[in-house]
Amino acid sequence: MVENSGCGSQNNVWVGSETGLLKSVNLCKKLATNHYDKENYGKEHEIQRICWEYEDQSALYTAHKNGVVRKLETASGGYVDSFQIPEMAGKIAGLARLDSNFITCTSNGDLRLWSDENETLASSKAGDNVLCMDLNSELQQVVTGGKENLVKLWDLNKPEQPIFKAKNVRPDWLEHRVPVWVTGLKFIPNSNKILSITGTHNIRVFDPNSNTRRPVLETSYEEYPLTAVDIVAKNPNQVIVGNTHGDAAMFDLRKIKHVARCYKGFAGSIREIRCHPSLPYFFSCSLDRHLRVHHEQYPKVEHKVYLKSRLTCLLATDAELEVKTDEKELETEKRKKEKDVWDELDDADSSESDSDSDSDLLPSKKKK
Amino acid sequence: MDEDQQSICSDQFSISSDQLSICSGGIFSDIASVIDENPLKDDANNNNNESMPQNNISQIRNKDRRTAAFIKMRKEQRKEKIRLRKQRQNMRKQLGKNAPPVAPPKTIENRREKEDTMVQPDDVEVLLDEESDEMASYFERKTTPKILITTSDRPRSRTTKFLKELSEGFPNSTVFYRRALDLKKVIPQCIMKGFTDIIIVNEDRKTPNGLLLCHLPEGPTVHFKMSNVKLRKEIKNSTTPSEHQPEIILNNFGTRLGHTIGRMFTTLFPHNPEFIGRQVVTFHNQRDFIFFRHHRYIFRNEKRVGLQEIGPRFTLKLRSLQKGTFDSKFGEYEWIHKRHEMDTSRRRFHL
Repeated sequence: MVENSGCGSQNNVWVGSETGLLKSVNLCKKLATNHYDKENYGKEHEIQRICWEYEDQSALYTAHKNGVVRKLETASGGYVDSFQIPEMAGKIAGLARLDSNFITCTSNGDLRLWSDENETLASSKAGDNVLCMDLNSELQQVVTGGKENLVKLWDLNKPEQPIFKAKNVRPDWLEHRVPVWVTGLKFIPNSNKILSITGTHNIRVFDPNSNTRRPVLETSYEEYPLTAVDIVAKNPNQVIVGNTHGDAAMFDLRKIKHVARCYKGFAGSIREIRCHPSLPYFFSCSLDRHLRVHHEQYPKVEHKVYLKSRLTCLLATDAELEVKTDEKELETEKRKKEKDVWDELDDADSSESDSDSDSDLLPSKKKK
Repeated sequence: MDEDQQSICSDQFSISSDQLSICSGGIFSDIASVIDENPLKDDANNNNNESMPQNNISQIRNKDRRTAAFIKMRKEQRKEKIRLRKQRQNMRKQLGKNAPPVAPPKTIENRREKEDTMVQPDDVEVLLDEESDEMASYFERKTTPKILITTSDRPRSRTTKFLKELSEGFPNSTVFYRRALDLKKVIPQCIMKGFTDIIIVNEDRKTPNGLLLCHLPEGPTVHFKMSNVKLRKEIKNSTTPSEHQPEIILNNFGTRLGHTIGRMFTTLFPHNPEFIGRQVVTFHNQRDFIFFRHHRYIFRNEKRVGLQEIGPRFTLKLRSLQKGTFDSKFGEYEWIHKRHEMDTSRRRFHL
């Protein structure tokens, strides 16, 4: 008997909504529960960003519209702590956790590294209209971008100036300046490269180590602003993007002009996509109040959960998706055992059957 | 009623701990298991008779023979059907009063596929969501509707007549000609002038064929396909509306999406209907088609009502619901009608 500790006991996904409710979804047990603070739910407490505390996924932080960051423990499912982003104004563009400090970026450009005791350790001005931010914890680098706000790479140890400032692409074939509208940013693992998606339906890769400040790779997808992006955990060459029209596709960075795969089943704008850390699935939450699970290879929806409020952000855990793994393993074990038995039988029979079969096949020509 | 519901909410929350779910957090849809409602089969024999020929027929290579075999199979099926029906009728006659009640006829509405998003009346989370949506200010009586009606550029006579009739149907509405103005520039001006809704009738081939309803301060934009438009003179025995505020009837807006659309329609009309005017506006949703009718009613006696139709009549079909004011290129869509994915089943509806 193989005891499967992963399935059923752990929630697969944590989803934040516009009504301030954090939902945990367990796909094995088909259970979705709301987690909220007694007084603090409602439209003013819209969850805008969500991040893990450490890699072990034991606690997560949710950033709410009014600048409050709350800590929730995944095991108990209850809110344990709350912090306030210092000098909060505008919307929250990014939330991340580094060692025991927070890194937050607000939409008016206030990029800040602050500790649990509300001490600001470092801060910089990232410009206006910042829409997204990502953290590279090994290199301690942060990248920000937004509307008319080019991609900037910051080093947290030297926060005065960005270490890399991207340059806008060349004017298009009509000689018009291409507007800058960065809606999503991700660091490509095991490298320094930055993947960005834009509101002008482009996917771009920047390499700070190269001598160009312009994007190294570029492609466009459909005609609507891209809103969600994630890199497949097992294969960092593969990237999944989603747009406001409910189209999701997978691209391979090695052949970026070619859409590797399309995914179906969305009715509304895809707000966030998160890939499963180990299995070939990805989760997506959209404005049409559904959470969907797709297999990376197939376009159809594997699981769909209606979650009643407009969903804004998402975190995926390492848990198993299906209950059947236990039963499947038992079955395959049984089959193996049966096969062994049959093998044994064959061996036993073959030695006898040879002589028998010979006698059966050939009519006995008894020589008298 | 609002107060009662609010008190129920607060009671639940005060009793519950931090972790308790508000009703349930979500509804799972079983995509893998398709609930196949087996049409009632009276005879087991029937099954056998039908299954055998079907297999053989598709393997006949000769087209003439194949068609002949198919026609024969169909004849036999119909015979079987009539025989069964006669049997059932005879059973009913024999049993007389003891006969089991007639099963209700199977319609597409009866056998509608289960929709997860159907709103349950006691769902606190949906209530919370609705209380804080963009139309909430109307329901809290903070704003009264003020509608701007316009068309696409250069409308034809039919559309202008339609607009005039529409504006008579919606109290507190004004008609403006479009004159090639950008909607994105019109909308901020409307907000400044205090309009709460803007209705744009799209015209194609000399007749109105689309409706765009945009709720103003930051509200959702809904795009409909409009068909079967009948003006007042084309409706028999029709009459003109009076200045009284009408009552509103919303039928069959069951799912979450339907609720949003229904709320948007409600925000077009003033809060207090004047019953003395005996006018009623109906938005009836059936199979994802929304029928707009405007009537004047009179109660002839306890059982009978007389209806006289006023004003335009049209049918709407939802194409997309976009969050925020009109921005078809860069706006975020909450729902888009995707024909090839959503219309695969005749028994699935979204409103």
